[in-house]
Amino acid sequence: MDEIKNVIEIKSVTKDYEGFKLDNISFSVPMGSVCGFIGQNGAGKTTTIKAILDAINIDSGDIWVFGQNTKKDSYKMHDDIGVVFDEMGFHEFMTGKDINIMMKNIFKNWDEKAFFEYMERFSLPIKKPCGEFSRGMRMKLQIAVALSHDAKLLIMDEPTSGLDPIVRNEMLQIFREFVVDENHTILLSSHITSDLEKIADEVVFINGGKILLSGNKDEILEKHGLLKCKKDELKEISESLIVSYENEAYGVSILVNDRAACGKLYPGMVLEPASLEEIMLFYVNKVMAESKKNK
Amino acid sequence: MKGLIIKDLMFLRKNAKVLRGGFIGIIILGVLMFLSYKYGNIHRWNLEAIAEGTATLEMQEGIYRFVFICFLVVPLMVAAEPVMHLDFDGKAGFSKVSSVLPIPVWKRVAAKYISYIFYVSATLLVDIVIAVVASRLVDFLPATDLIGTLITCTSFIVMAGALTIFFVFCFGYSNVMNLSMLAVLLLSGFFILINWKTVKEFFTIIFSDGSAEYNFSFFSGLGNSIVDKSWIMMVAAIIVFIMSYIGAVIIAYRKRGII
Repeated sequence: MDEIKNVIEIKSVTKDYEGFKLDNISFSVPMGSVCGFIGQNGAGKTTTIKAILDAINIDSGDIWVFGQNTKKDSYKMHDDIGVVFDEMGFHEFMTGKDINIMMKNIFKNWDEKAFFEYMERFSLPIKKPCGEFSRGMRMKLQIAVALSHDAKLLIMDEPTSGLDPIVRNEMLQIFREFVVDENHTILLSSHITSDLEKIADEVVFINGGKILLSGNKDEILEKHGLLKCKKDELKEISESLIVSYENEAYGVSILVNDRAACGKLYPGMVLEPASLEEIMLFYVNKVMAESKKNK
Repeated sequence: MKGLIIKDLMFLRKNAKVLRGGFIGIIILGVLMFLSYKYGNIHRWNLEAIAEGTATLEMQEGIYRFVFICFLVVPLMVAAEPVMHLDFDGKAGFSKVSSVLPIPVWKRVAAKYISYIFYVSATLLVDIVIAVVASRLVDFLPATDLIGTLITCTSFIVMAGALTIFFVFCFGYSNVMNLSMLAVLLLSGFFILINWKTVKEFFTIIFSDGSAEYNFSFFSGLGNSIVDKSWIMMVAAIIVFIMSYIGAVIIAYRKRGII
């Protein structure tokens, strides 16, 4: 496993549903990184995750996890993958103790001690049926399970959605601890970009089943910027620098794809760093504007 | 696979109160019937019927034997209850969890079938105890006949369960109860068709008016038929069970293990 550079490699994957298409997507997740998978609801995040986990048939393309093509005996790789879904999935009558008994008979590397330590750390009662847990507790239970079988890769589908900021922060702390080990990797899908801004090393933007942007988060934040100008100044800006723009009350806000060049070319204009959320919104606006134009 | 079976057995443990209650109720009812047959109203009616010449002891034994055979089916019906564990799987969304476990699809499917066999075995065990006790207490209920009856009934329950699991894999978890009913109806329909003559005779006797003579020996014959055909039912159950498993594995692979 040490020789593998990318824990997940997706190449030209297509999956056509009625009304939705995962359209020729490609990206990779480097080992030891936290990859934020960003997109609005219905963008294709869950479908992509299902494809990675070999839970759906893809129409074309290839996916490798730990260097192994998922089309072949994908269940074997699940020993090394911890998965956290947006919903719990355990029977409501099951207690922490029950889940421990079940899992120790499933995962060959199940660490009972670690599981109960996580349960204690997350203040989860081990004798209480998990159906009585709050949403935050349910997510923590899933994370406790995912972290207790020596997983090298955590795949999480919207784990922080619907949680209060304190619990979200607590969970992000757990994820940070997980990736202290450089062999550990996280793919974290979310539409809450502020969480990903705090923790992600890599980001992948998906919209309408297409990858809009992917790469190192710091590089993406470094490259992009928000240029504020008057409406009549818009035509002075080089089109190659503009991702998209938004009319505001007193002018125009433009997302530019080369902040350094913009700073040099338009020194008189206000140029601010853009957040991941702003970058996502402007890219989505661009796609919507283009599709309107094509119609 | 062991973990998945354990999870299903936990469901059985959760429902232990219901199962225990059901079994205790059946045992109490059985004891009351036995006391009535030996010393109470049933005993009196039997004596009156023999005195009036409307029935012979042999006829009466035949009909009681048939009643007891029907009675034996009741505990086995409890085995249908754990089909509900599939319903719980669906409600919890456990298929998502199980799809990312390091277990091949065929083993995950097998776990469901093995769990079901465990449920049936638990109820069968109770039934065997009832059958052995009954055969010791009543002369006209030989243990071999009762075991034959149990094999027939268990085979039916196994077939119904196996078909239900297969239907759930085909059509999803949203209608487990209806799919379970569909399995029972299909099987019942099939057995009614192949035993059409006997069934017709049965309903003729049941719904005949007062002028018609009650054919007690018919019920005795029906009891014998259930016992005699037990081996055919067992073979049928094994075939249905295996076919259902193979079909379910094919469906499960098509669904990429989301089962």
